[in-house]
Amino acid sequence: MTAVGTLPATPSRGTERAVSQRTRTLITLTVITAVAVGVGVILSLFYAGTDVTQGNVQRIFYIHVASFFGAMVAFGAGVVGGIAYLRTRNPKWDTLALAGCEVGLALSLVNLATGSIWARPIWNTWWTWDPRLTSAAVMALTYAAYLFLRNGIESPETRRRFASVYAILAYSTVIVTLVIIRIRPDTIHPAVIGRSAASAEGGFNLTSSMGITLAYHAVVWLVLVPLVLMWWRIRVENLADQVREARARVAEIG
Amino acid sequence: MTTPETTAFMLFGFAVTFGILGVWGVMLAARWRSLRHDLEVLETLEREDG
Repeated sequence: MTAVGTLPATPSRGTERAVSQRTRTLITLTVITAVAVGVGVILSLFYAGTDVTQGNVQRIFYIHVASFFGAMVAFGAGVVGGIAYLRTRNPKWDTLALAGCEVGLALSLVNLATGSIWARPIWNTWWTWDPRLTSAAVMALTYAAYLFLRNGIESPETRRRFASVYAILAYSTVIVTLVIIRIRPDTIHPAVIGRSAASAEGGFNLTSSMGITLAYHAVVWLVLVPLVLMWWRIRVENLADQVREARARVAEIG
Repeated sequence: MTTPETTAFMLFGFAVTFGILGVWGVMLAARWRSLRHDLEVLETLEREDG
């Protein structure tokens, strides 16, 4: 609100104020997310009951499952950004897609790593070419390739168009990874929610404390974690855009 | 039935989770600092040449 007798804020001051307001919001959201993740770890350790057949290692399943949900949301942002860019040609949507794919990759690495660590004492191996594990690995590699390939294209317009189409098509690997334990009867990967395949090994029945802990993790990793990580990534990409623009201006002067 | 002792794997799992996210965060922060530095240099050049 402008006080009587004072000049209205200039557009640049207004923009600066909006940026600092967004920064404050992001920092607040980051702190809330960190606390929420910490509370989740406490719930996993002290609230959820111990699985008698697996011992404490079962507790990392909450993060294992929730990080996959987070990756799904982040990769979904890649699809939204890709479709919106192809429709509008606004580079901001490509930035959203890039952030989504990169954050999704980080979260799917968490999912793969925690799964592998859980598998060692339960399946007696770090890795096996089970349909679910293979599809999860293909998914992560597909998105790693997205980051490498888009960096290899010089023309910004071509890069954005290619990356948009790629991000949309790559989501098929997420869908396959999600449904494969329901459609392949030979998988040994247990389904945490719903019925597992007859061949599944290492499944467990969710008690009420386990269900509440899993639901809490799912909400935190589905909403807060991808949102905050993608927001930070978008900020870095916006700064990179400013550097590219400044570089072009300096080259023109020179 | 005896519950197996798998606490070390659980701790390893949590450490790897926060390790991956921590490394990603540190890389992002390093990139931010490097870009800020580049922008300051370019803006100085722009002022001097312009």
